[in-house]
Amino acid sequence: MITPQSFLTHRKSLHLKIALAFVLASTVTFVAYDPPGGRNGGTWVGYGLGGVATALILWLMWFGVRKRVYTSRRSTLRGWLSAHVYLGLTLLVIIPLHSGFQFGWNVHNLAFALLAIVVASGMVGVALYAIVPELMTRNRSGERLDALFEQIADLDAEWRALAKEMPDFVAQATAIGIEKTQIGGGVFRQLSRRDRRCGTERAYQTIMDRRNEITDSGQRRRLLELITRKRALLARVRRDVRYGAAMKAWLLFHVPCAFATVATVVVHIFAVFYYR
Amino acid sequence: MSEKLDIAIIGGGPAGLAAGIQAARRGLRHVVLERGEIADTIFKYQKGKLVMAEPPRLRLHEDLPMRFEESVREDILSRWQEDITEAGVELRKGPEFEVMSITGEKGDFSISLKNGQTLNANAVVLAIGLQGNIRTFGVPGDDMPHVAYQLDDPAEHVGKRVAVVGAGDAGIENALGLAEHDNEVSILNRGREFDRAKPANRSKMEAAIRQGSISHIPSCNVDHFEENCVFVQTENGDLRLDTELVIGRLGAIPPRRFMEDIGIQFESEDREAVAQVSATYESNVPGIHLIGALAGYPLIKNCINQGFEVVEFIQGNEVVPADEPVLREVFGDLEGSVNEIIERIKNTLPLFASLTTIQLREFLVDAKVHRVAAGEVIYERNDFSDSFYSILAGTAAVSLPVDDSDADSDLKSEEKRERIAYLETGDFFGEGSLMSGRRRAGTVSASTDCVLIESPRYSMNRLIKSVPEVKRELDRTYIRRRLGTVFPDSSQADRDELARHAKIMVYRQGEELFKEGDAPDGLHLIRRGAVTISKMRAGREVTVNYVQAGNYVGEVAIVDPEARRTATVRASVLTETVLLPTVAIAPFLADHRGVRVEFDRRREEYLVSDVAITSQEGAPDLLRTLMDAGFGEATDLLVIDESLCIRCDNCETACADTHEGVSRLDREAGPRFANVHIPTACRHCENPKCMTDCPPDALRRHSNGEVYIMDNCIGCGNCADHCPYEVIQMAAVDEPRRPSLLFRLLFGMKGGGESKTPGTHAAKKAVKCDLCRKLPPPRPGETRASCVSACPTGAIVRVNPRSYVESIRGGEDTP
Repeated sequence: MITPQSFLTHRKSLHLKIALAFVLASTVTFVAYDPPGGRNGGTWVGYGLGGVATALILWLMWFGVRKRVYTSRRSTLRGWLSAHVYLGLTLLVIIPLHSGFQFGWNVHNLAFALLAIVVASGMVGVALYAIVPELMTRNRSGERLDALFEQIADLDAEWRALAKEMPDFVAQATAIGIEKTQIGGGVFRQLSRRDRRCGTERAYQTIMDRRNEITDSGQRRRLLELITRKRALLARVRRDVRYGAAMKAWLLFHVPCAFATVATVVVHIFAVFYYR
Repeated sequence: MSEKLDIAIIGGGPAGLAAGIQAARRGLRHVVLERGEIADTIFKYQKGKLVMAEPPRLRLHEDLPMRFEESVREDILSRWQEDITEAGVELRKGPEFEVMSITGEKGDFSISLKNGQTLNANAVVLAIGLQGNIRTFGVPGDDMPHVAYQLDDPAEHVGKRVAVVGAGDAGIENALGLAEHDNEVSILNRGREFDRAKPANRSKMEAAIRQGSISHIPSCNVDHFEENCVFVQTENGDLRLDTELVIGRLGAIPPRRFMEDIGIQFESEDREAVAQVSATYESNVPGIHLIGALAGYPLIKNCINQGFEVVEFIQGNEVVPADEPVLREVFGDLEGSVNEIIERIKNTLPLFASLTTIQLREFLVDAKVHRVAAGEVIYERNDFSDSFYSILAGTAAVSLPVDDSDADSDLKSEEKRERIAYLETGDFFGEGSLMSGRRRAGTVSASTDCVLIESPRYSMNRLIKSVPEVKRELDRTYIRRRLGTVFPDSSQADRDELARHAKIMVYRQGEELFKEGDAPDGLHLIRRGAVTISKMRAGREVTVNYVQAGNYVGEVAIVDPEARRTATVRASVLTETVLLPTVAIAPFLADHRGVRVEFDRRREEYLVSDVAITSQEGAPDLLRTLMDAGFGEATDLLVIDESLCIRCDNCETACADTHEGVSRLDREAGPRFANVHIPTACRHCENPKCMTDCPPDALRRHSNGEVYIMDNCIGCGNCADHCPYEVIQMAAVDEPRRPSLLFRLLFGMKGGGESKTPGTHAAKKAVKCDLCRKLPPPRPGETRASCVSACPTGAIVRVNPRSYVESIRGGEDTP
């Protein structure tokens, strides 16, 4: 192995091929078997597909465990993720086949709806994994995050020193700009594009509005240049945080929905056999 | 009439004191003459300096009541003071007891002292070491009060401006000590580098200069002193430095004049030459014995043992040397006494003929003796072992692939044309990997039953450094054998002619072997290290290739006598080459059409591939980034493709989980170029710098290349200081309480357990990547390393430098 290889093309897309074969085989079986009562979940093909799908769901859930086992040398996590993605997608076909395309507003379809949400969020995850790393690299342009933070701290120190010699409103704005600037926070704050409460932004507005009150033009220029540089840096850091958060946030949706799916599948199976 | 002594011991260091104690115990009439303090060299160490007890395997004579173990300067000095008082040693201490001359012969020596007194002695023991004559500035004003030649306690100086002159270990240690106490320190260096210093000191100094805590004045000479200042000449003109203290650490003058006046002969004009002594430490002047550093043994333990032994020898007693039991164990079932075996080794192995018996004994303490049955394999081609073998009896067969450039290929040796060479009793092998740090070039097996002496890399390196003749012999043999592999089809006579002209060249990191446009000086066979090849393209230097030890460079231009160098070749790490000068290689090429055709073929290949790489956007810069990150000496490099990396840090978590909760990998750190990111993780270098100075020898290299740390690490931090890539950390490794998998699943705790709070009671040890050697073997084609197998997206890979560069040069699948 010399060059990195994406999980999507792991072992020449082996799992994609397996998934396609699986879908094809299921479809052929579904079409070939036409029982007197019509195609539905209650036929032997229906039970068979249902059983396979249940097993598949449990196996997909197992990914969460496998991810945390670091000592196995029989397989790589990349292989597992590749299989997880392609085989997970097959459920979108297998389950409608299992039901004989019978849809309705009931607990059985709730399970499928939840599953569809899980698969859709997984697709979002795959898309994010494909797009965001590149954006993140470009935004960082080879610098470490803590180096960016250091640069911000340096600018703050310079700003504070400069403000000492300037009118009071500048000193007040500076205090807000330095102390009330926050990076990150909760998930939504991390994900949001703009931070309206950002101290630096508020200080910038105040200073821009009242910049004519600063009489020393050299000082004014230096101050504005400094704040502009800090704003640009902040934007970069926040973008970095946003990208990082985006790659994790979808999981907050994907994983709980997956557990909910399993719960409804249990209800579905119980209901089917109990009320038969 | 002056007093008549049995023994006069000159020098009150560890060797002289030990001799004095033994003489007193034997009830001999004796004196120990010391013009300074007892153990003056140690006395002049900085306060609180740790004195090491090396080598660890050597024991002290049990009968001698002189205590010594690793401890701080003060403890050692006070113990020795007690020991000599207890034994009743006649110590004459002070400047008036400096010895001016020694005349006479065995049984009647006259020793005249500075105070005019003359002593008579039957035998003389010279144990004056090498540190006695401190070199002074010898310029106007060097006796002024602010000029000193030693520093007792850096803490006595705070907030001063100090200039330290001298870039050896003593100068560096003083400068660092002073800088720690908020002094404004400048270090004045005659050269530009600190290459005379121990690697650990050197890297600490370089770090201090980088951080600005010490300022470095390179290439300078002290001109004269005036009150509270020093005048220096630099490359950029004269400089006046205001300073309250100048410390000169200019080294010592070996007392050669003094010894030659006595009649002691030296082997060579070499400044570092040692006077020869017999097995009883007697010099060529009967009755005068040399011990300690004078006899070539600067280590304290050796000095103490020799002090004991020399008194016994003078008395005519037999002594079982302190290393006798260790050597007996090393020799195992070899026939004869230890002395007989040592004699046999000396007579059988010409390489060691130039060693004194003491040097040979010391060298053999670390060796292993193997009996190998006929047909048995000693090592295989492509193994990563690096020890050195000498054949004490028997014949060994070396099989080498014929094409030198295939040294890295994974093809089985049977599939290639092979060249077999036979080595007889007295020969040695394994010197190639010892020097280059690379894999074994050939397979060696025993043709008859053999007795072999295996010496580890570090003891061989020590020997090469201390005995120039060994290095010369190794170089000669290396050149002869290397020419045999590179030009297998030429006659021995032609190769001998080439060898006669061959020169060993050493290039520091970044130094040029030759420049594009130069007239060719010859062909370079790279012996160790690696070089980058770059060309000027549109006014910019572009890196097009890199070549490792085991290959050659410079063949393109020497084919044609009118030609100029077509590329610049630069050492990317410390590099050694065998240079075959044009005067020798040009006629050789004229006579050997086959070689010439091969060179022409390679030239055309390069033309094509160099164009290929320069036309790919970013590829040369990527190569440059890789070289800067240590690619040139790596055997295994961790690379992340940032366009696939989702920053989940599962690699770090996996690493921590595999290694007692401490990750040896820092994903975020390390250089980047475009999408390629080289995280801070061990490169498993060919010549691991971390291994240079490990007191317990805890750093080892497995035969598959991985460099790992054994459990006997003492946590001294030398390896971490030496590593230029900062991949070794000092961490308190304490098996953390690890929550169960269920707990981790429910509460989302990472696999590393409580790694964030390292155990307070666990001692710090060095930790680094060991390529997960404790894990079960992987499936074929996959890696054992858990960082790689735990990456969900396949962004992180371990690459073999050579094939990776091939893929960049070829332009396939470049990340």
